[in-house]
Amino acid sequence: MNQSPDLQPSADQPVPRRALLQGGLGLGTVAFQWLLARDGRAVAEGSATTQGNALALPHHVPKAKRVVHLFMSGGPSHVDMFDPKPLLNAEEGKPIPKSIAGEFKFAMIRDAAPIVKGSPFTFTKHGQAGGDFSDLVPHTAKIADEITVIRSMVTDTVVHDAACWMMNSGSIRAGMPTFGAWLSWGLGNEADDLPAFVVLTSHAGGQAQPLVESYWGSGFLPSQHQGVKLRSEGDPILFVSNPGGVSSTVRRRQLDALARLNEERFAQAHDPEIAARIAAYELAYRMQTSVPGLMDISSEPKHVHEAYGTTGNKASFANNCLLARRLLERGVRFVQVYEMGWDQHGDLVNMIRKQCDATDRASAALVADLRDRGLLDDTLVIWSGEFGRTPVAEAKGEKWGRDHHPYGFTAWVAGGGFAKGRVVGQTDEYGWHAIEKPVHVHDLHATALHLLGIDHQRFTRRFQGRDFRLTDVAGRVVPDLMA
Amino acid sequence: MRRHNIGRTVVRAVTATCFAAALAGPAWAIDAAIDFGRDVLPILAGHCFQCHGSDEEFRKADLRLDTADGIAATLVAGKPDESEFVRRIESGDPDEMMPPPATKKPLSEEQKLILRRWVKQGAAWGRHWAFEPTVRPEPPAVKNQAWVRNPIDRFVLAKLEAEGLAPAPEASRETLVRRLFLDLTGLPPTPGDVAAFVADTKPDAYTRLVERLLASDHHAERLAQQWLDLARYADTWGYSGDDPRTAWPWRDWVLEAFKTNMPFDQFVIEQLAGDLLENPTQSQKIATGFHANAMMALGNTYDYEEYRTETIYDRVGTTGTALLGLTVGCARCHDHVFDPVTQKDYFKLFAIFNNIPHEGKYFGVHGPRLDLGFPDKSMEEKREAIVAEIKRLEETPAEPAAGAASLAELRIDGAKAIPTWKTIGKPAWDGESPPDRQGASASFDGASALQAPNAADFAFVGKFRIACAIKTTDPVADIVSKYDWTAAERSFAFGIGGEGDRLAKPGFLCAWVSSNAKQFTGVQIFSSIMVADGQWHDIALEFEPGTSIRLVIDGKADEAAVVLGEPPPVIAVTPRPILVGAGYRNGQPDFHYTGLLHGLSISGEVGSPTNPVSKELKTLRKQMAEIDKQRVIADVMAELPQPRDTFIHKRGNYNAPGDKVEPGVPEMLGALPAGAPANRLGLAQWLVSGTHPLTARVAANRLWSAVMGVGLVRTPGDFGTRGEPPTHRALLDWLAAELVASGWDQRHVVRLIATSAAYRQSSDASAELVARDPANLLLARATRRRLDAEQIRDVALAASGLLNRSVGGPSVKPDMPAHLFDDLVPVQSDAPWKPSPGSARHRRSLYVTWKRMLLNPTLATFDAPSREVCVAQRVVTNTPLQSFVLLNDHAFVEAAVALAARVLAEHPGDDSARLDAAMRIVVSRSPSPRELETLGALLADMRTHYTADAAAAQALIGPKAPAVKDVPPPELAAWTVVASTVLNLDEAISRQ
Repeated sequence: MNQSPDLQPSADQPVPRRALLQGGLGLGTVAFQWLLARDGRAVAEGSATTQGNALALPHHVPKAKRVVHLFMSGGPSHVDMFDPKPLLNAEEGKPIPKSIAGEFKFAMIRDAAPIVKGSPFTFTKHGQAGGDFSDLVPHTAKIADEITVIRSMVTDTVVHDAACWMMNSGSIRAGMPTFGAWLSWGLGNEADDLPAFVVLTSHAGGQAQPLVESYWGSGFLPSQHQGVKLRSEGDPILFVSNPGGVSSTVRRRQLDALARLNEERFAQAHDPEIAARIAAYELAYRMQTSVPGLMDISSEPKHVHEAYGTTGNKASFANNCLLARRLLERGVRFVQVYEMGWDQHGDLVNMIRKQCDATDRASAALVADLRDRGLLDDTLVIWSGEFGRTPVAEAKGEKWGRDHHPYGFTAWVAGGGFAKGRVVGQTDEYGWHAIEKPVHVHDLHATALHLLGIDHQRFTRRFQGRDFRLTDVAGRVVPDLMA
Repeated sequence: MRRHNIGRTVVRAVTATCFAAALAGPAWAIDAAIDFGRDVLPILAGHCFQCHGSDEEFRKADLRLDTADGIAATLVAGKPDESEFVRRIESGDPDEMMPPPATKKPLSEEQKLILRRWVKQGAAWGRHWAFEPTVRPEPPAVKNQAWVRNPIDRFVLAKLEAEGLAPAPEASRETLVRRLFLDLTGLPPTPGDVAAFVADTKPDAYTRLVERLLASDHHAERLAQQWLDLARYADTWGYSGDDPRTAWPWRDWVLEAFKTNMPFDQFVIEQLAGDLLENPTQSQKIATGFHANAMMALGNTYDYEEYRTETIYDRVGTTGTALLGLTVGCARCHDHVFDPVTQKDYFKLFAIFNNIPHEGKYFGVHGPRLDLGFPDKSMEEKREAIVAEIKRLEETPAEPAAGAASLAELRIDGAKAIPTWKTIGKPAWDGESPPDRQGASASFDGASALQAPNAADFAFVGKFRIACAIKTTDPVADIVSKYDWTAAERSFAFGIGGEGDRLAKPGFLCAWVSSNAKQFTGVQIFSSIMVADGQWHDIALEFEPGTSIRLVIDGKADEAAVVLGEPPPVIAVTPRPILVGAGYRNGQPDFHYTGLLHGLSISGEVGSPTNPVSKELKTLRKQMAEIDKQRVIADVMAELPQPRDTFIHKRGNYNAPGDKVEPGVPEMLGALPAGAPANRLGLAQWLVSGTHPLTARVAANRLWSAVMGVGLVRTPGDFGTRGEPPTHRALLDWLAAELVASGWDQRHVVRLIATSAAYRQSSDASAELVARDPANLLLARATRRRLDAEQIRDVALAASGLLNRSVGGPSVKPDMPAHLFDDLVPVQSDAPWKPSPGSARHRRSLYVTWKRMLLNPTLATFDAPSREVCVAQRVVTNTPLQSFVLLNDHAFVEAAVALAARVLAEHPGDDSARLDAAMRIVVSRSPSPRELETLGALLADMRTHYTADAAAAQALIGPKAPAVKDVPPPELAAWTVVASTVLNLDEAISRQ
């Protein structure tokens, strides 16, 4: 085989992509196709489907290239953070009128007449739109002019996992491709040596619900598009570290030998998969150096740490927000940052304070940091839970809490063509139903896809005879959310 | 949009044909004969049926293009230029063109030409190929007779000869033996297997090897793996609760079925309806676990009916995909747009599966289940001995308690409320009395209860007893309770059916006592005697802290009751008052009792704690609890005596009922056989009755893909118009016919495929052939493919000598990094993950515990599906994360060390022989001189490296490395890197 000298790099010089492209007899071509497949959708998947890959993305000029989703898992209470309802305080202790809550399901509350509960937190107005922010979120209040607060979010279910699947995949069932997986599949990866879809998780305390792999799964899309969870303990990516006793030099030598052996097989079989595998090993080798470097946030200057409120070696939402910025800088397509523990069925007053202390500063710092680095213009920031919390109390006494609430809740968005400094939609005077400009989760997905240059109705993949999309059979682009 | 004037005919000049004339071969070429099913229907389905199909709701212009009459009205056969149909599809006018631009489904120029030529050629109407009856085709004549080994080869060769191609030469004997082992057993051959086959020069050497492999248990394991994907087999229930379930008895049934080559018709009937057969055997009941595999939510926040409905959607969809190759799920919300399945058809199937006695909550409790007893008889005997000993000790008079406790007692005799108690709802006080008893009984209507005035009333600290007579048919209810489960107030409960416990059975008594109010800690007891049978029963719960719990029914202690956990020494104190006729949930009475209640007596010790615990009894009860955990209870199907009514769900919404439908099968595929019951059994009999062509075609295609690596239809779950047509339709039909004619003998079909010349081709190909036919649609070579996730792990285990080859039994847990469970928080009862002891963790991947919400990462990285839903085909990927697994996953490092030790021990002193052995063990062939040189150089390099760094060597091989005589750690480490390299070869994880 007419082998390029570039295919035998030295130990400290991993093979550059260019070298792969110049490889001999066919190998370079197929490896090139594979790399293109990573970067975009130039190559159809595995079998020769009749559909091929006719996505022709983007459908229109995109405003944004990447997404960061700050996911407040458990359901943050809109009426205590962004959506003040004086009537709740005025009618505190009275049953919620049947006309408002009559036919609606609760997750946990079984009272025939649930009791209205006002918010103990103080709201003030901020930014040009005069949006309301409670004293739980003073830092988010400071970026009021960068964000659009959606006070009329709607979803379909009162159940955590179903609502998380809805927020992530547009379906209340497990097993559908999630937003990040769709983008990885459709738009490919711009990060040279990182996965296109990365997930970070933290838990500052409070009642948590499990985070399961299917929240960032690839469903029926190829598994390479699923979110990769970066861990703060052990290997950041599973098995990324060499085993004990295997130095980088040893690994390099091993990979060189392996490549030579695989090339020999390729010369006989001409199977493009062999070339792709050689390229995959080289990429893996590069990830081994880039990932630990990426995870090491200690190299960031002091003022950055202060702005985010990072917590040293202790894993936290703040650390993860800073990590998210580093990932976005490196071209990662979709970063999802989960904070667990928002499920305040009881002791809401203390627990929500804890959650907000853990997330408010860092969320705002991330937006400001992206802005200052010029990344906000083409990065979508989405802050949401899977639903909100009920304007009525669950449990009584001091340790009262709120139940799950899907009929009207708050999310906020920023960057990449989303409107700035706007408040969209409203709930009724009890904070119950989204009564003005309701934005269903499907609509949020459709709008975000639109800003990414994608027509959500044409962004489909066939599975078991049906063309599926992120927005199922619904969703509309919401002009009010866009600049 | 303007209304379409379909009736108007305009002659238009056609210019596009010039374009077509330049090209040859495909359907749209000028001379090609158009096949309606193959060429035209997919275009109509994909571009026209949405608005002009069967669904009235979406239909535009009252026009149907999915029927012969409908489309005929729009065209003049033979005269495309006079056909409105052609004019509209060729129009450039946005107001006229079809499909309209707004649909964003434009036809390509090729598609337009196909439609034009179809009209020109007479516009023959037909059905989609897969719905046409199977007519056993005659194998075609071929030129190269000598190549043909069986009829399969005629079909393959005829196509190749038509394409001007020759088949690939036969693969080397080493390749063939490895391929056969991998395809038929999922495991690689040993070097001895390879050598024996290579040396066997008898003409029947190949067929003898095939027969040997087909007869092995590992062949059953191999075929089972594919079926498990289709059956969405998993060892947990799914959803975020994801509790473990006992699914393996069904998996073992599948293994046994493949082992004994059960005819496929029986295979289908038993799995769908084994319980409905006459005098079903235990095995036939276990078989129905097929549809108990549907995901089911746990927890208490679900809308039960919604989740019950989801499981039925899943059963309908799985049946369609796995057995009919039809995407019936598309018809849940509306008539299928592309295939002739209506929404009514869908709900006819739904009605068949709508009669499972399950209400949508915790299938593990409230679904039908089958107690299989203990895995081995000795446990039953052991348990009996313990029960006897406990009884003996209990009957021995105890020492009087130190420190007398005060007694609280309540009696409800006859018909009266207790003035101090709170009445919830409207219990009635005039119910009939039990035979020979005095006084009327209290009657609970399912919304009533009685509550003690204070939480301190009946806050027992010592032994207590609750007794009454009941008459009820309520399967799930609390009779007397002191708890609120969701408010973390747990003292005790006594009732029927249980509320989330694995062993509870509807209609059977159960009770629990907890020493911890927040998290259940204590004892549960599940009765063995049905009481909700509409007859009067005297029932009692007797509890003694730290000592015993028992149920007494009609005067006799229920000795066969199952006790889980130990009687706690104390009873949790809660602020929840005792309740009669219900239990609390979320501060509200729930789990209401419906039925009669007479002569209630609640008595027990309140005040200071009493008796010290008998140590001996405690130990015995602990032993019994351990034994009871081993009891195997399988999830199965059963049928309600009174079927539920089924209504179409409007737009697929479970709570928007439309017209009522009766059980049945999709109309276009026929009807249930005359006299067949309109239930699961009838459906199963119809599926394999041969009156429609799908089941046999789908099964034949599955067997083809199991052996050949990819199906003749490359969308094995979709034989409809949106699926891909078969690459060799006549061959598929021939195999389907052969399958049926042989008495649904699956092994016969596998044997035919594995012994064909087509199968025995080499997978090596020229670059030209790969470029011409990258997906190997023509079969001019064998398909080279990456191994399945399970095989990749199994090959490494086999090569290292670690593989435990035992067959069947409970699933096992290999090591998993503990922090994977971090974000699952303790709601999942199998966290933390406890790896199986000993060599169990080295069992075949088929037996790895399939946790839906956190699948084993080694398997998941290589595209094993989490089996939330039916998977007809795995997507194969090739990613950097896979190399991390093969290089760095602890299990693969362990395998590399073991492989290194193996070749070092087996071939003392000779590097070349050892390298040769490593290659023969892993890829079943000797290395080429160049490969030997590359590996030799690596070895020399590593030897130098690790000799200079003995600490690194020790770190790599680890403290548990197998000792090899005269091999120091640096040598073993150097060989470990070599072994790891061989295990990472693309060839090692490929079938060639």
